[in-house]
This record gives sequence, structure tokens and C-alpha cells, in this order.
Amino acid sequence: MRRYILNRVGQSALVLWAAYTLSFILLSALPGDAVRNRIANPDAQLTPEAAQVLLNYYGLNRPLWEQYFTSLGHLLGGDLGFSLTNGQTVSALLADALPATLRLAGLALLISIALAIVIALVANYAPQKWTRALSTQLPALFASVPTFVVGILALQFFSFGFHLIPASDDGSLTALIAPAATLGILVAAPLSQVLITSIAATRSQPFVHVLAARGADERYIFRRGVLRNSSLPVLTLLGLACGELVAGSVVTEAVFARPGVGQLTVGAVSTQDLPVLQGVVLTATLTYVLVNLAVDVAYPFIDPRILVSRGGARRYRRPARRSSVAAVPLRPPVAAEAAIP
Amino acid sequence: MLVAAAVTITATAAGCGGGGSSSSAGGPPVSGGTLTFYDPVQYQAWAPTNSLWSNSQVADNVAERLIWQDPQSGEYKPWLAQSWQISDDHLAYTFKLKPGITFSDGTPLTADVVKLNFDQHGRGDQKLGIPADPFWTDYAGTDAVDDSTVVVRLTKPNAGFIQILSNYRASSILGKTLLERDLNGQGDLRNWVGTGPFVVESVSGTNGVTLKRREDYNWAPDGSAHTGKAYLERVVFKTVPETGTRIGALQSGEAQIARNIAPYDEQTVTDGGGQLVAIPVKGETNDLTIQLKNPDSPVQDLNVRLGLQAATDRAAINKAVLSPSYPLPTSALVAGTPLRGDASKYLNYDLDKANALLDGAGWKTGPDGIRVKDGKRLSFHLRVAPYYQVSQSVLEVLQSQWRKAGVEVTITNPSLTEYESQEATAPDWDFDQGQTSTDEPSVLRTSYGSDRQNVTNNHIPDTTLNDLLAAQSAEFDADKRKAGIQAIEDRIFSQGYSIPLYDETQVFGLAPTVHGFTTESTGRAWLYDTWLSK
Repeated sequence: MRRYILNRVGQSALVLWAAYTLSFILLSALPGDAVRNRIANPDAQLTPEAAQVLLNYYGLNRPLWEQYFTSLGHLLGGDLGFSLTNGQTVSALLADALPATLRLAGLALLISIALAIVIALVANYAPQKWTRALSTQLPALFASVPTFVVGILALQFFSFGFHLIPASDDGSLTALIAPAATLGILVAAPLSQVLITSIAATRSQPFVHVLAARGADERYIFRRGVLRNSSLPVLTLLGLACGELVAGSVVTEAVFARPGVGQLTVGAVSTQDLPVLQGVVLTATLTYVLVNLAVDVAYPFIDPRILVSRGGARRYRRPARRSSVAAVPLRPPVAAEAAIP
Repeated sequence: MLVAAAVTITATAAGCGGGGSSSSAGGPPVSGGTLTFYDPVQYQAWAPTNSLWSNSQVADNVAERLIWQDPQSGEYKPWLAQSWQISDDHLAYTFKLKPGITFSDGTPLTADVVKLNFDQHGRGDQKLGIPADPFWTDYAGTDAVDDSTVVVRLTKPNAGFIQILSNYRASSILGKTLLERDLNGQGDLRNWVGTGPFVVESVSGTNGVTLKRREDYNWAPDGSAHTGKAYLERVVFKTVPETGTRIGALQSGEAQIARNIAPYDEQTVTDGGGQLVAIPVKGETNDLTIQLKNPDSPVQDLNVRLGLQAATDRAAINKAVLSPSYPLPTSALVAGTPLRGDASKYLNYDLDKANALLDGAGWKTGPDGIRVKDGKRLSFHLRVAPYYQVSQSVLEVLQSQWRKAGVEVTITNPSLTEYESQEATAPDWDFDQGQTSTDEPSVLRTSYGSDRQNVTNNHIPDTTLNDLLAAQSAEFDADKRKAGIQAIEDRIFSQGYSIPLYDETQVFGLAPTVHGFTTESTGRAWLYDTWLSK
């Protein structure tokens, strides 16, 4: 297990460096930069000497490779540099923006998981056929309605119409609900889609039929058998969903006028503020990497077969909990029946 | 330093304008309360010379100038200086400071601090990374004669200099602790130390600023509606990029002022009970400036330029995509700019004249209705200017108007970065949409002077125009100077250098509870006299 984690951490560091370098190359390849744009703007009316003062100040007069290695060196020392348009350090800007975005993304994630579970349960277990069919179509609808449409509609009705929630962030939890739900709907789409399919697939597995044949009711089968088996694909998807949360927060934060990483990104992109963009890329990559690392580490707890099938010489010792789903059919029928309420 | 006005993304116009506004009714002014101000543009570096629309709405309430330009009349009145004198040779400006003025950190306003400010504008500071301010040309230096007497000296007379001394982005007086910081340090609003009626309470990244009232403020400019401290206790500025949210918030009472209302949203604001305040942004009109850098361009031919001018129907543009908030241009300068000339005779729509001029230039109508000369079609490429929110719709109307005269126009919509790089290098950049704002006719010299912005980018300087531009700067008799400005306008339009589109305007939406809203002379909010009724 330790080597497994160390491997993952090493890979993560590599991914971070690659993201940093790639974004530096791509952003430098674009014509202009934040400072040169300001100088070129006719309204600035800067003399060449005055322009040079600026370029020197920001170190943009040096060759590109020198800029790269200097900033990489500073980065290793934990210094992300200064914003070219804002005069604040990138770390300060990120520290300002991150908590708001984390709150938004966190609540959105909770909402999307809850939504996905409800939708998947209804799609698989609802007694009426039409309810199941309707529920199966919901993810497609969620995925195809753009976030800004949902957001503007939410504002129109709940904020301007019924005055239930403030239209822009006032720091309260109420102000967070609408944007988080807007973002949550977006992320719920793939989660519920996958959960619907994977519950259906698990339910068609032989051990479920065996359990049913032995008299276990649906609730017991779901709790003890289906839930854990069908949650693996969803867990994989959760790792990917954090990318969607970051992307979605750009739009959501703009519509709901919430300060955060999304708005910071929009501003930095439009002004070509390279240090800020680099900081955002790094933060997003780091989040992504951490979440996926957590997901990877969580797999074996849910399904111990993963370590075995990967040819790991050592078998990971699971905590002394009740045995895995795969083991259920092997247990004496009495135990299963005894647990049936 | 840098960061010229309109430089942003969503930003509209740059500029200046004037004015006061809003209902006078509502009973006696109420002191107290918090006003929330929604702005579409994020806040950038807070350099004292930053004229970005969003920043300057805030900065104008924190830092002040020695003299105040009345936004309505354009006259100059005492502010931090109680009086001033200009020497006979117009090279020395002597100011007597008002006694008892303090910065928000408690330090007194002295001649030394004023000198420090002006030196930084006039010369820049290489060590701190601060470039010289382009507004301060021909600066010779400042002398602090005694604690309350300052003399500013120039090497050449400049009739427009008094306006520069009243200009928020060129002459705001800030405290010593701010001036000793470097470019990044000055760009952090939390470091700002000013004498204004409001001080910075908190800054939320690039998205918001909260100002609170200064209780001991008592040096408002002459001509203010009251004395003593401001009415509002707090002002919350916030970036709200989504138009619908800004207007909805006005209606729901969440915000009291929203900046940058588009022409098509104006009615939504008034229908919802709000007030619409259109402030003329004084200085140049928003125009297409002809670019004369490419010797092979059809616009090198005077008849082509005059033909395009005659084919432009400004009244139709206004009716189709603008609103009464955007006056029809009748001069190179926006209505209300002092000493402005009259160029209306050059700006009449006349399709027959346009056709005759273009025929005369050798461009004959081809089989598909587009004019052709030597196998080349009369076709232009216009770019939507990212600085002006009405640019695209205005250019689209223009496209159909010029088509009637057999001129083809393609419109593209590049990003800010692409726009700026094409502006510098594209050979088919024949027109440049823009305006420079300053409540002073010398703005024409800033724009057209070959030694200044040289907005036409001509490869052969127009010496006649240059002489006229220089002459008005040295003319201090108002009548003679007005004649000089008229001569400049005659030259610009008889040479077809500029095709005005509309008078630049800044449109604010106000909740019905807002009273006494004013701006300084260039359309930046001045909230000292503003109050909220219950």
C-alpha cells in the first residue's frame, strides 16, 4: 500500500510540473501580455522610455527561458509572483478567492451526489414504469441545459421574483444555495447517468439473484450488495467531476457575481495576466491531483479485489469489518435471513 | 502610470463627462445608510493614474485634487487649494493650500507632499518602477515655497494644463506613505492614503471595495450642495458582470446604482421605477479615425474619405441601435466640452454626394453593386472595438449604410488581445474606433498631434494641422482659442480624418431612493452629495 501511494504522489508531482510548464509555453506563445497590452493601448500614451520602465519592473525584458526558470525557482520556494494587473501577490489573490470557491464547489458536490442518488434510485426502483422512464431521462436534460440558463432562471424567480435569496454574494449561506444548486445540477448529470446504469448492471449480477432467491428483500439487497458494487464507477467519476466543478464555477460565479477563482480566472484570461493564470492552473491541477489521489486510495477500501488484480504482491489487509459483497453469497443463509427485518 | 482607461474587456467608453443628476425631490437630505454600487468590470491595479472605469469610480471618492472642475460649467474652483495664480508667461502656477486638511492617516497636507505627488507624475520613478505620466509634458518641477505654498513650473505654456491639475487621474494628491511604495505597493488600494470624504474600509480581491465615511472631513470643493462630512455612511462597490443581475438588483433594492446600462436595457430600468442618468463623456466624440499608414489603402484618397463621411447616417444609427442618451455628434468634441467648435456642415448624410465623390475617385459600380477600381473591390474590414459595448451594433448599421454607396464592409469580432495585435500590424486596419476623453479641447492635440498619439498614424505628417494644434495650446484668450479650435475642426473634417459615430456617454441606472448623485467632470462618481431616502 505504501508503494502504491508513493507512486501516486510521484506521478502527481510530475503532473503539476507538466501543467505548469505547458501552460507557461502556451500562454507565452500568445501575442502580447498584460503589460504590453497596456502599453500598446493608445489611451496609455506612454513614451518608449516609460514603457521600458514598466517592462523592466515586471522583468518582461528578459529572455523567455530566463523568465521560466526564475518563476519555476520562485515557485519551488512557494512564491507564485505578482499579478501584472493587480499589484497583489498571486498567493494573496488566490487566498482571497479560494475559500469562496471551495464553499461553492463543496456544497455543489453534496447537492449533486444527493441528486444523483435520488435520481438513480427512482430510475431503478420506482414502482411505476413512467416514473422510472422519466427519471432516466433527467441526466440528459441536466447535461444539456447550460449553467448560465439555469442560473439566470434561478435568479429571476427566487431572487428578483420572490426575494428569497440575494442576487449576489452577501456572505450568507442563503446566498450560496442557488449558485451551488445551479452548479450541482450540472455535475449531477454524469453522476446520476452512471449510477443508474451501474445499479442496473449490478442488479443483474448472479449474486443478486442468489440473494433474492434466498429471500432477501430489495432493501436488504441494495444496502448490503448493490450499493457498494455500483459505487465504484461513480467514485471514478467524482474525481473527474472536480474538473467540471472548476469549469462550472467560472460561469456560476459570473452569473451570481460571487468573488472566487472563477472570476479571478475570467479577469486574468481577458487581461493575459500570466502569473495569475499560472497560479490558477497550478491550484486547479493540485485539486484535481489530490482528489484523484484520494479516489485511488479509496478504491481498495471499497473493493479489495483492486489490489489483487493489479498484481500487487502484498494483499492489502482490510479493516476488520463485515466481509465484502462478493463474499455475501458464501455466508450461511441463516445469517442473511436473520438480518431480514 | 499606465492602464489607460478603456483598456478592459467589457468596458465601455472612456472618458469624461459631466455632471450631476437625479431627482431633487425627496425632502431634506438624510445622513447615513449604505449605498451599493454594481459595476460590470473587475478592479485592477490601483495606481493613482489608473483611469479604468471601474477603478476610477472608487478612487475619485478617496483622493482629491488642488482644484475642482465644475462638471456643468467646466469652470475651475478651489478645493484642496484655496486660491491660485498663474504667472504672466503661463509657466508658473502658484497654489495656496487650505489650512487644516489631513490625510486619512492623520498626517497634514503640506506643500512637500504635493511636490512629491507632482514629481512622480512629471518624472516617474525608475527605482519604484513608476513611469512618467504622459499627461505631464513639459514639466520643469515643483517648489515647496513654505508649508502651504506650492509653485508648479513648466518649460512651455500649455492652455490645457489647468485642466490637468484638476484631473483625477493626473493630479490626485496622495499621502507620503503611498508615494514611497513601488508600483505594486501603490496598486494595492489598502495602502491608499487620501484626503477624500471616504476611506477604504476593506478590499475583496478584484471584485469589491467597501468605503466608509470620514467623520472629520470638511473641505468639499466650492459649489458642493453641503459642507462637512458626506451623507452616506458606507459605499459598497462590487463587480457584477452579468447585465441581467445588475438591473434585477436595482429593481429588487439590492443595489442602488448600476453602471453601464446598455441602450436596449434603458427602458427596463425606467419601467422598474429606476432613474436613468446619462452623463456625457466629454472630450472627443466616438469616431472612426481614418488610418493613413498604408500607402496602398483606398482611404489615402481624400474623395474616398469624404464619400464615406457623406454615406454615414448618424441619425439612423442613433435610432436603430442607440438611444436619446447618446447625442448626435456635431463636432469633433462631445457636447459640453469647453470651446468646442461646430462641424455640423461636414456631417450631413447625403448619399448622392457620397456616390458622386466615389465615382469621381474612379471607383465604378461593379456587377454585384460593389465599386471596383483596377480590378480591386472597394471593401473594408472593420473590427468590433472591445472597449465599447455598443460598437458591434453601431458598426453593423454602418455596414448597411455604406453598402448603399457601393462600399463593402466585413466585420469581425476579435478578442482584446487579437484586437490590439491587429491594430499594431494588420495592413487592412483602415479605421480605428475610439475617443480620448478630457474635459478640455486640448484633447485634440493629445490625439492628432504628430508628436503625441498621432491617431491617424499618417506616414506624412500634416504640418498645417500640427501648427494649428500647437497654436491653441499657447493661446490664453478664450475667444481666440475658440477660433483656433474651430480651425482645427475645419482641418480635421475637410481632410476627412474622422467619421464621428456618436457622442460618448456613460449611462448609470439609479434606484428611486438615490438622490444627489453626481460625477466629477469625466463621468466618475462623486458620492459626497449623494444620499438615500428611506
